[in-house]
Amino acid sequence: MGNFTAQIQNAGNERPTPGNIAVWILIWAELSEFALFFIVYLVVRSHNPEIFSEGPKHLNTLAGALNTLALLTSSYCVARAMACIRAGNTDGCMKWLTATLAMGLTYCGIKAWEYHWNGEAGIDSRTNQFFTLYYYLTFNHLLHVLVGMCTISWAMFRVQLGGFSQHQHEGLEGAACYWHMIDLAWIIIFPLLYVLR
Amino acid sequence: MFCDNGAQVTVFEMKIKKYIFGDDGDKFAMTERHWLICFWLILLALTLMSVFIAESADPAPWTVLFVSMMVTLKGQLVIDRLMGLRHANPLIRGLMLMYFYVLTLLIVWALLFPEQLAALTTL
Repeated sequence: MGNFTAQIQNAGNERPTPGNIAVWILIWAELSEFALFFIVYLVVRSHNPEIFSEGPKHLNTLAGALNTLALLTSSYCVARAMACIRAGNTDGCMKWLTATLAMGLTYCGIKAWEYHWNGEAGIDSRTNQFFTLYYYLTFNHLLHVLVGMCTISWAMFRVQLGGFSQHQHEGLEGAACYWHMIDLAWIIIFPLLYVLR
Repeated sequence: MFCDNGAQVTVFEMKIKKYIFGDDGDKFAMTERHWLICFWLILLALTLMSVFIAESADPAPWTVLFVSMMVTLKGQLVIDRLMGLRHANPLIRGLMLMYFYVLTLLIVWALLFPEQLAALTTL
């Protein structure tokens, strides 16, 4: 495993790959889970075109768009935090990680509003197949955001204790990559559920 | 990842520099911070553009293709620029990019030819 990790780190030879092999296996496992549900969504959609064409019209597109902007901004914040730690600026790193958490909380707030809005409109997970998959995908993604927020909080704790430095911040890179993975999953979920009809 | 040394700056990046700074763009050394802001704004613009197109236009094959292209572009920007995989291990980067290429192609196929997918998945 050590050799393979070293290979992964050096084979690119231009720049080291962020994180370590365990983080990338985790990220691929998570992305495969999402891919499986995207495929299920597409298959069910192909058998029920009318329901899935109507479904997005009943969703709160504004909430979905705002959540996309919040997650893209959070990815930007995490990238800025990584730039700060690489420059040895731990205060800046803490500031940008706090901003990442704030964006994560914003996402959760918007999602709560969206679910409430759906409830007011009489929509729940048993309305039809589209909404069953909508709730499964979005709630699953929300859980990943919560896990990501815990990971970022842990990274902040380590930064505060001096556990990460300009030259040693592999754990922070792992947390950052996990957060970007959450953003990547949403980049596909948003058009699939809210935009494409 | 984001280069200030000039050697790894692509034509696309040079165009952005020129757009921001004008003809004297080459004289400015853009820092990692500048590039991150640029790519963040591009990502926000792409999101708003695809929402606008999808909301204002009737569902049609071209909207599916356009939105899917935006998804692929956004995925590539996040993977290369925010995650920092642009100059990282080609296997890791390739697998991440492949995820977006394969899934968006699958989405385009499933939305444009649903009857083929339905026939393929009927027991």
